[in-house]
Amino acid sequence: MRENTRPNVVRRAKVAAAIGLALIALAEVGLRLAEPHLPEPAQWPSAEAAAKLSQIGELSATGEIDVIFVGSSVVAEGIDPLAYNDSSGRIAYNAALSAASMRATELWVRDVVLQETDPSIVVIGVSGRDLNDNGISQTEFYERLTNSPGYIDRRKPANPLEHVESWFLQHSALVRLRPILRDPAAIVVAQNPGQPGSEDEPDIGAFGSDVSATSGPYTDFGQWRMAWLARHLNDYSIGNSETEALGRLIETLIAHDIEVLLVNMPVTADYVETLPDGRRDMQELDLILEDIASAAGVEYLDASAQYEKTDFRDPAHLTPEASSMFARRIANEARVAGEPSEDL
Amino acid sequence: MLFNSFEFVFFLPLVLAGHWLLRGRWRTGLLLVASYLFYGWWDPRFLGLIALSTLIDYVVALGIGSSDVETRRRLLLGVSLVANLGILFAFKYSGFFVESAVELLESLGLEANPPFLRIVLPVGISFYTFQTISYTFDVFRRRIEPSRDLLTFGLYVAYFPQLVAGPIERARELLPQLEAERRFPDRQKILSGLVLIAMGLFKKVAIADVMAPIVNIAFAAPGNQSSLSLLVGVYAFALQIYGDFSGYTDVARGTSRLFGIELMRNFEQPYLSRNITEFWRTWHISLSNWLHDYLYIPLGGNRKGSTRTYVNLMIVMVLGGLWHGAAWTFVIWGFLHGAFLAIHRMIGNYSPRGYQGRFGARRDWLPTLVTFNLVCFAWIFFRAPQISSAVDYVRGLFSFTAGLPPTSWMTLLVPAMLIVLVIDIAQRNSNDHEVILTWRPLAQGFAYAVFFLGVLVFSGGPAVPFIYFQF
Repeated sequence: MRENTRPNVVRRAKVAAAIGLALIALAEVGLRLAEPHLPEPAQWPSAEAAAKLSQIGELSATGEIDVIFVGSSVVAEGIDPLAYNDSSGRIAYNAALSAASMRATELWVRDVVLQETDPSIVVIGVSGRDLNDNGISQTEFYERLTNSPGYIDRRKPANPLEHVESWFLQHSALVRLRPILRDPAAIVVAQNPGQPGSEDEPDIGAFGSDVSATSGPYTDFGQWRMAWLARHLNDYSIGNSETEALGRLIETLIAHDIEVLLVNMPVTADYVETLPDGRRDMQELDLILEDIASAAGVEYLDASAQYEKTDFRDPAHLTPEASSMFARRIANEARVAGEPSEDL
Repeated sequence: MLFNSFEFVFFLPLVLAGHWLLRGRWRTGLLLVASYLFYGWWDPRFLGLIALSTLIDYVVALGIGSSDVETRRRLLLGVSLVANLGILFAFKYSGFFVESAVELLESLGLEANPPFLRIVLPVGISFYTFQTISYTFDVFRRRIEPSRDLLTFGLYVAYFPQLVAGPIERARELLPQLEAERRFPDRQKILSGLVLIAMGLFKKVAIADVMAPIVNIAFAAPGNQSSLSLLVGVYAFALQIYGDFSGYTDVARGTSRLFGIELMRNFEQPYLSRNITEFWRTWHISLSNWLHDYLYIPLGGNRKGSTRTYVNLMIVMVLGGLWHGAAWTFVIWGFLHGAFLAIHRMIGNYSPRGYQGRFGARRDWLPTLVTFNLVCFAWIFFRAPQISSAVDYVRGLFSFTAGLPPTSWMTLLVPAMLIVLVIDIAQRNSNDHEVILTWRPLAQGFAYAVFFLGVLVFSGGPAVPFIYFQF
C-alpha cells in the first residue's frame, strides 16, 4: 500500500461508502418495482418433493407414519413401502427424493420431514453417487432445495446469521430474488412450460411409492454410463461434505430417539465398473459407511452386491419386483424388539 | 474454518479484540491458540502433525545454528527433510505411488492386491511443510538465526491467515514481525485491510464459485460438448482458480494486516502476463520463489549450460506439479509448463526483469492473449480428474464441433471476465493492490456496491472450500 500518495483516503472512502449504500438501496427499490413482472420461484425443488410433502402431511394428520425411507432415487425406486408395510405390519413412507444428495437429504429430513412426522425408524439408503462431493446433479438439487421458498419458510435457522438471512428473505427483494439474479436466463426458462422448474405431475403412488419404474433387465448401459459420468459420478470423490452430512443426519435422528438403519444400496457390476476406481471405490464406500454406523451405534446393512443384473431397470435402480423383495429384506433388518415382523 | 464461513464472522473480531487488548507473549500465545483453533475446527486430529513439524524444525534448527561442524549440520538438515517430506509423503503421496505400482504390475499381467487404505489428506500440509523446510534451510545456509522462542516459532508455522493456503512465507520476513511488539494499525491500514478482505470475498463468492458449475459441466462430459462450450469451460476454470486462490490470498493479507502483520503478495495479475516466464513470476509467487530458491538453484539453476538449464526447468516444474496433487494429471500440467518455460528461454525472449510494469499498450494484447491461452491449455490437465478426461477435452476442443455454449454460461462468464480485467489492469498500472482507495468517491462507491451485491446475490448456500485447501 502506498499511503503517502493517499492524503484523503479515509475521507474519500467515507463518501464512497455512502455512495455505495445509496446504490445498493437503488438496486433494492428497482428490483421491488420489477418483482411483480418476474416469474415466481417454484415452492419446492421438484414436483416430487411437493407431492410427497403433501402426502406426508395427510398421513401424519392421522399419526400413521412409523417408518421413513430416505435417500435419492436409488431409494425412491429401490425400497417399495407397500411391500414393507405388508411385511412388517408397520406404516412406512418413502420420502426419498430423486437427485438428492446426502446434504440435501439431511436438510429435507431435518427441516421438513421430521417437522411433519414422528417416526420410530428411519432407513437411510446410500449409494456412492449420493456421497460424491462433486456431483453436478447433486449440487443442483441441493441448491434448488436450499433456495426454494417452501424450504426457506420451514428451515430452522442454525445460527444467528441464518436468522438475519431469514429476516432479509422476508424484507429484501435483493435477497429474495437471488436465484433469478444469479441466472437471468432462468427467467426465460421458468416461463416455458416443460422446462425444469415447471410443476409437472409426478409419478407418486401411495406411501410415496414409485409408480413410474420400468422392469428390467436394462440394455442401454453405454448411454446410462455416459449420463451418470456426466452428471452424477463426475469427479467422483467421497469422504467430505456429503459424508459429513450423513453423520450429522444420523446424529439428528438419534437425538430424536429414532432408530436408524443405514443401508448400502444394491447396485450392479456395471455401476461398479463406472466408478473411476471400481471395486476399490466400493470398498472405500463400505469402509466409510461401516465407520459412520459403528461410531453412531446404528445398524448397518451392506446390500450393495446382493442382487443380480436382472433385478435392475438400470445399473443403479432396482425393478419394481426387486424393490418389493428388498423392502421385505429391510423389514426384517429393521425389526424392533417387541415388534414381530414376517420373516422372509 | 473457512474465511467465507459463519464461524469466521465471529472468530476474527474476537481474536482481533483479544490480540489488541493483550501485550507481548500473551498476544503471541493468543494468536497461536487461535491458529490451532482455526485449523482444528476442520479436524483436530491433525493438529498433532503441525505440532510435530514445529517441534522437529525448532529443535533441528537450534542444533544447526549452534554447530560449526559441517557433517553434523548436514545430518540435522537431513533429519528435518526426512521428517517433513516423510509426513508429506505418507499423507499425500503414498496412495498415489501404491496405485501407480499396482497399475504398472497389472499392465505387466501380474496381480497385485494391496490392502485398501483410506488416508485423509490434512488440509494445508503442503504449505506448512514447505514453510518449515524453508526455515531450516535458511538456518543451514546461515541466512537467518534460529528462533529461540518456541511460542513465536510455533506461530510462524501455524499463523492462521496463511496456514492452509499460503502465501508460503519466509522466516526472515514473517518471524521478525511476529517477534516485534506491534502497534495498532492506523485508519488507512485498517481500511486497506478491509478493502482486501472485501475484494477477496467477492473474487471467491461472486467469481470463483459462480464459475464452478460451468466448469463442472464442461469437464464432466467433454465428449458431449461443442468445441466452443469446451473453450468457455476452460476459460471459466481459469477464472475460477484465479478468483479462488487470489481471493483467498487477498482475505489472508487483509486479515493479517488488521493484526499489524504484512504478508507477501502472492499474485501480480498473472493473466496480464506477456510471456510464460512473466506468468510464473506473477502466479503463486511464494511457491515459485520457493521452488527457485530451494530446488532450481541447488540443481544448478542456469549456471551449468543451456541443456542442463532446460532439464532443471523441467524437473522443477514437474515437481511443482506434483506438489499440487498426487496425480499424473498434475505431473503433465507441470511438464507442460516446464516445456513452455524451456521453449520461451530457447527462443531468446527471456526477460530477467520481474513483471513488466504497465499494461494496456496495443502491443501488449496479442502476447498476453497467446500466453493466457497456453496457460488455459495446461489448466485442462490440472482440472481434469484423469488423463483420459483431459485427452477427451483436448480432442473435443480441437474437433471444432459446432454448437454454442448455453446462454447462462455467457451471461456469467463475460461480466466476470470484465470485472477481473478491470481490477487487474487497475492494480497492475498502479502497482497497488488497494488501488480502489485512490479512485474518486463515485467510482469507489460503485466498486463497493458491486462487491456487496456480488457477495449477497451469489452467497446463500454452505461455504464452498477454497480449491487450494486440497493441496
